[in-house]
Amino acid sequence: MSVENSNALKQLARTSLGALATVQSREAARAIDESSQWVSDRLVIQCCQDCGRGHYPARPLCPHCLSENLWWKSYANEGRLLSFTNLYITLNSLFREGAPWRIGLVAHESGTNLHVFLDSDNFHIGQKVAVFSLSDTVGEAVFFAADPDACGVQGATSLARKFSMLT
Amino acid sequence: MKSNLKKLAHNGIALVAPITVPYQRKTDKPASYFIGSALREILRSASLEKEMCDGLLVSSFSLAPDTVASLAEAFDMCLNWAEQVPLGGASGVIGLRRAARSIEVGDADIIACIGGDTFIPEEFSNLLGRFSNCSIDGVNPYASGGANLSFALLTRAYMEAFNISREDFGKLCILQRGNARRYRNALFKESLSLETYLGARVVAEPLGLFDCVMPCAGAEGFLMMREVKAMELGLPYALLRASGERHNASNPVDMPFSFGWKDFKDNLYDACEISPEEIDIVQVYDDYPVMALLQLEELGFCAVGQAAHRLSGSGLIHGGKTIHVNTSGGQLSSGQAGFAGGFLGLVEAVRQLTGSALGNQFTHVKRALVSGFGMINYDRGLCAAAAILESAENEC
Repeated sequence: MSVENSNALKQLARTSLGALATVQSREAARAIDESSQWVSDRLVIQCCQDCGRGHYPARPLCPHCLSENLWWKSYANEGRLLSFTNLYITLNSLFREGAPWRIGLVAHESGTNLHVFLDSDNFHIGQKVAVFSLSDTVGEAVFFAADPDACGVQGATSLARKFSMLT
Repeated sequence: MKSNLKKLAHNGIALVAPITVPYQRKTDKPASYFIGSALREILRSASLEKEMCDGLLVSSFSLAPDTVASLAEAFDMCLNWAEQVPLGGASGVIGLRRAARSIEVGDADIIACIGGDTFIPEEFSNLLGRFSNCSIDGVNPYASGGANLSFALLTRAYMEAFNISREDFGKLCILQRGNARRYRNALFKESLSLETYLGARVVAEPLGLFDCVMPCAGAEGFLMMREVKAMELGLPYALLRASGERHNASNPVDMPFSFGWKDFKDNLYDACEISPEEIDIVQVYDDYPVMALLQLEELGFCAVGQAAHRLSGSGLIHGGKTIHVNTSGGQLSSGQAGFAGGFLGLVEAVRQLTGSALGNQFTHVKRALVSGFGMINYDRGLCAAAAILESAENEC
């Protein structure tokens, strides 16, 4: 298969995946772009203006008080790793090429749990991680996490490029 | 939030004619074929005319865009009562609860309860990718791991929290395979060694191939009616003694190791005036070994993190005896025919209680506990349900 064909197929598979994203997810991706702090030590998460609680994934009403007064709040990007895996088998052919995928679940200070791509195998449950967001190739917001001691904003920027290309 | 969980008892409700439509790895038939085949076999087994069945309850992942109404027409049934339960692996027990209450108040006389699905690989991946809005936005972009991703994360956290090894999960898989070897309908009957279990292909660390259910097509079902009706018809039956359900009950922040069963288990046992050691067989929902263990723990058979250490022979050592677990081998050996997986434990429990098991009948089976679990919306399953069934001879 030619490189062009392979890339076209990849884009098609990725688009079909992204086409499913809900309105809220697209808003989240826009909010990240508009924060003009793409790859920063701040994390933009949907938050309720009435009760002040954060939620993820983004949704049309606050799950706690059911208010519709929602905004995008900038949080510190620290989190605690709840668990992680190396994913070998995927449902979408697009991801077969990059497997295994290192993926974790992070408890973030917004009171939400976030799935994240991880940048290495050197993680343990309970450790602090720095979470960064990026808007992937189909306009979905995804997160990745790194060891905060080993990865500043600069390191995260190069990781973001890597993950953007991967996803 | 506390619910009124006291009224979990049922009176005089019978489960009759447990049927499995043998599972298939490949098919070109739609879900309605498997559900309808279950209905045909249920009616045949009970020697009942279709017209006598005035209620139909179905659960199916792959039936859409059709519904239970479409099936009423497809099966040419004029019904007093129709219900569809979309709660994944909790559908069987929750469907049983809905049907029981409706029979108790007289809305229906005889209800066929069926979980059934087809399995067409390309469509299956699409269905899984669209399982919920939250999974579309917050899980699927992470390499489309589906349920394997969520349960790999849960499994690793459980292993670390309670010092559990892969060998411990292997014990459960080998135990269930031992039961499956004698069960006529199991897809996997060959003996499973610890070496084979540990050496299997990695799916999502720490999950290997034998930790994951094989998706397939098939159906499970039974009839529900008043006990007096079952006696009048001369049909063998099991009695429904108590049932409960709980949704979205886990701690939202951490990795959850309890999902709601503990909130109602005492009421469940109290309603039957028994304690857990008076249960003879347990059918837990085994989409992944970690869930089977967590259910045994949360339902009161041992402390959290201890279930793997209590496994022996065909089940779990509790109160000085073996409580047989997943006596037909569960989904880990039989395959997962979509939402039929939530009915598999009920069907097997009714067989064991009526002495009609398909090859792996245990003796002195008086009481069975069946639990269901379903619906990962984002990072955890939300629906927990359980029921206690009893053999008819055991009634006071």
